[in-house]
Amino acid sequence: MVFSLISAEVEMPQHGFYFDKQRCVGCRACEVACQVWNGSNQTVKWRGVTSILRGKYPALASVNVSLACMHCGDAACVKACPRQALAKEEESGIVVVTREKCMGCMLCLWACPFGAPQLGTKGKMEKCNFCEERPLGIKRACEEICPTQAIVSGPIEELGKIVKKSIAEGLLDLEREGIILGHE
Amino acid sequence: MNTITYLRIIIAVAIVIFVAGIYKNLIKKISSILKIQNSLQDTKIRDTAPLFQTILREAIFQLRIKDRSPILWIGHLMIFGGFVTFFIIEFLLGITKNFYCLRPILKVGLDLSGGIMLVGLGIAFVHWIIYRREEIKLIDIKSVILLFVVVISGLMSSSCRLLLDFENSLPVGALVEYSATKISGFFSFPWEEIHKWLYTVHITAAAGFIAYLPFSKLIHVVAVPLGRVVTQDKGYVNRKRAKISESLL
Repeated sequence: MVFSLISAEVEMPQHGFYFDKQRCVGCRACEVACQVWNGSNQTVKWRGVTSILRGKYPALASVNVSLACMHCGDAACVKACPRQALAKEEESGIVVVTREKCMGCMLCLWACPFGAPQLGTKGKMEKCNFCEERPLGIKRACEEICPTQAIVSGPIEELGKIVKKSIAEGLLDLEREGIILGHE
Repeated sequence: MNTITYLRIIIAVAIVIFVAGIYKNLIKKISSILKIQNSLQDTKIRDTAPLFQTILREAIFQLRIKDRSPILWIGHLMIFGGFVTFFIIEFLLGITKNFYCLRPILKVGLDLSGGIMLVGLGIAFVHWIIYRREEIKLIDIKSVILLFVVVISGLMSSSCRLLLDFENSLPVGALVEYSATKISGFFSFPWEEIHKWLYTVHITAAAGFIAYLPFSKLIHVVAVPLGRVVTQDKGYVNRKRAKISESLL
C-alpha cells in the first residue's frame, strides 16, 4: 500500500513529500538529518516518526510514519492564521512561517491535520521549511539520509508518477486477482 | 461639532472597524478550522488539569514571555494587569454612580492601574530601544506607542479635569492625577482649553487603538489563550500524528 500526503488543487507550482510506509523502517534518521541540517532554526522537532503497533505476535500489525509539514496545496494553517504569518511561496508552493508576524497563538496547529506546526522555545511557530537553503533541484535532508528511500520530495507531477508506479508494482507483487481498475 | 458628538462618531466608527477586523481575522479563521473534518473531535478538551495549567501559565502569568526575556515579561504583566484592572474599575465606577463613598476608593485603583500600565509601557519602550536589533520585527511598536498615547493623554486629561472640578469627591482618591493637579495648579494656563484638546487626543487614540487591535499583534489577547487552550498539551500533536498513522495500519 502506498501512502501519499500530497494535495494540490491550485495553479501555482507545488512541491511536496511522498512517503511510502512500506519502505519506512522507523530508524528516525530523517528526524536527525532534519535537526542537523536546520541547526539553530529548529528548537523543536519539525519531522517526527510515529510508530504504531497493534495486536500480538504473530498477528502483529505495525506501521512507522514519518510526518512533517506536507506543504498542502490548500493549506489549512495558512487559512487559520490571524496574522497571515503563514503563506505559500509562489515559486515553489512551499508553506513558510514569517516569524516576525507570528504571535504563537497555535491556531495553525489546531487547523493542521498532521500536527506539523509546533511552538518553538522562542514563542513562535516552527515547521518544516523544505530545507529552504537547499536549491529546489536537490534532495531534502530527510530524503537524502533515508536508507530505504521512503521519503521522496519534488514537484507534485513527479511525485504523482512515483505514486502510480508504486501502486502498479504493488499490484504486481501481490498477484491479486480482479482488483485492477475494477475490470473484473 | 462638539466634543461629545465627535466622541460618539469616532467610537462608533472604531467599533465597526473592530467588529469587521475580528470577523476577518478571527471568526473567519476559526470557522475555517472547524470546517476541517474531525477538527471538532480534536478540539475536545480531554483533561481539565492541563486546561487550568494553560490558563494559569499563558493567560494569567504569561510565562512564555519570561522564557524570551524576564524584563519584557515584567513589562507585559504590568501592561496586562493594568489594562484588565482599569476596565474592571471603569465598569464598577459605572455601576456605582450613586454610591459616593465607594468612588474615591475605586478611583485609587483606577489611578494605580493607569500608573502600572504606564510603567509597563515604559519598560516595553526601554526594552525595545536596548534590543531593537533583535526585537524590531517582533514587538508591535505601533501598538505600544498608541497605547502609550492613550494612557498618558488619559492621565493628563484627567488631571486637568480635576483641576477644573476640584469640588468633586474623586480627586481624594487620585494619587498620580491629584499630585499632577496640585503641581499644575501653580501655573495659570488655559486648563479648560488644554483639557479639551487632551481629551480629544485621548479619545482619538483610544478609538484608533480599538480599531487597530484586530489587525495588529494585539489580537493575541484573544487568539493566544484560545489556541493554547485547544492545543493545551504536547500530547495534542502526538494524538494527531497517531491518528494519521493508525489510519495506515
